[in-house]
Amino acid sequence: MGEHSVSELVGLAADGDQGAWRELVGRYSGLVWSVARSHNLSHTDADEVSQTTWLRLVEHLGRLRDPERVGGWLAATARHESARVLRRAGREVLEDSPQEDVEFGNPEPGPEARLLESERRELLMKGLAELSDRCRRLLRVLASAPPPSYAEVSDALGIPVGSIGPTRARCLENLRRILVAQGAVPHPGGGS
Amino acid sequence: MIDSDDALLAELRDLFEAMDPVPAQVVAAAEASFTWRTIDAELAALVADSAERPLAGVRSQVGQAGPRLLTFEGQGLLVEVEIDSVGTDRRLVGQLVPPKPAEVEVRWPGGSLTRIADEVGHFTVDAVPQGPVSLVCRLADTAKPVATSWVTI
Repeated sequence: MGEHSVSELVGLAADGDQGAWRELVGRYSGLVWSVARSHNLSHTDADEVSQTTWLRLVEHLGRLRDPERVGGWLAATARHESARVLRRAGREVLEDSPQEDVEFGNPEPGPEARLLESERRELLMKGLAELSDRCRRLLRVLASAPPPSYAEVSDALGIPVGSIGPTRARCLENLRRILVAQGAVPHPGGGS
Repeated sequence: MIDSDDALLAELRDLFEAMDPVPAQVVAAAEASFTWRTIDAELAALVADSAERPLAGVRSQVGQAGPRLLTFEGQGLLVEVEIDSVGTDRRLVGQLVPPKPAEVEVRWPGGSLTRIADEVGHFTVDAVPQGPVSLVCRLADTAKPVATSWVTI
């Protein structure tokens, strides 16, 4: 299956090929989840946004104008659904508001190496929490796995492709500055 | 030379994979949604949702009082659905416009229920679980069924 292009997978799935569908889910479920979570949605709400987004794709499989860009279509649909959840809850998509509690699990304490790793993670989490909403959203989606294209990130955030590179650089610089202010090295083991 | 931006982003990717991975049941639900593929249905899009704010930037008490009203439109058919909460379930009271009889199937990720819309296009479906739903209307006078867009209720 790995040799099929994305648009071929969409075509196969539209014809009822379950394997092709599973491959699309494998490729894009991380992106869809990251879009919902970048809106500070709870696990329950992000779960619903994800389900609705994939069900929407099922009904649109044979109707996509540009099947090659199905990732962007999914990202935009997840963004609209996330905004809908926020509106229904009477919340707004705010820029630069304090972050709400995000349900991250606590890193488990372990051997020393793992402890260092978990300390580093904690620093990163704190650093992210100090970023603007705009930066946190961009980095959450950019850091989804597998790495999304800039076109997909553009659809995920509703911003022009051309603004992603500069914004990415600025947000990472802000994060690095916060980490340094916290006494952390910019990235461990990274000489520079 | 490794760009330090790329290194930091890679570190963030590891962080999110460890701390906020896609839950297994979310992936399973996405895979299972393929079950609801309809090959012959026409789509009716969501055109109005009373739970949405009418105007951007205007504050209103959304979702505070009264049942939620959804309107779908497609193929010359309006599907109007009033959503009431009954415990954790939802009760759907619907109206087809123009009024006509039909078989109405309410689908959700875990199942479906079929009810008959009467001569004046009125139907009621009880005990629909909260979450995404879609309605498929099979009209006597139309060859293809009309399926509404999926929406979370």
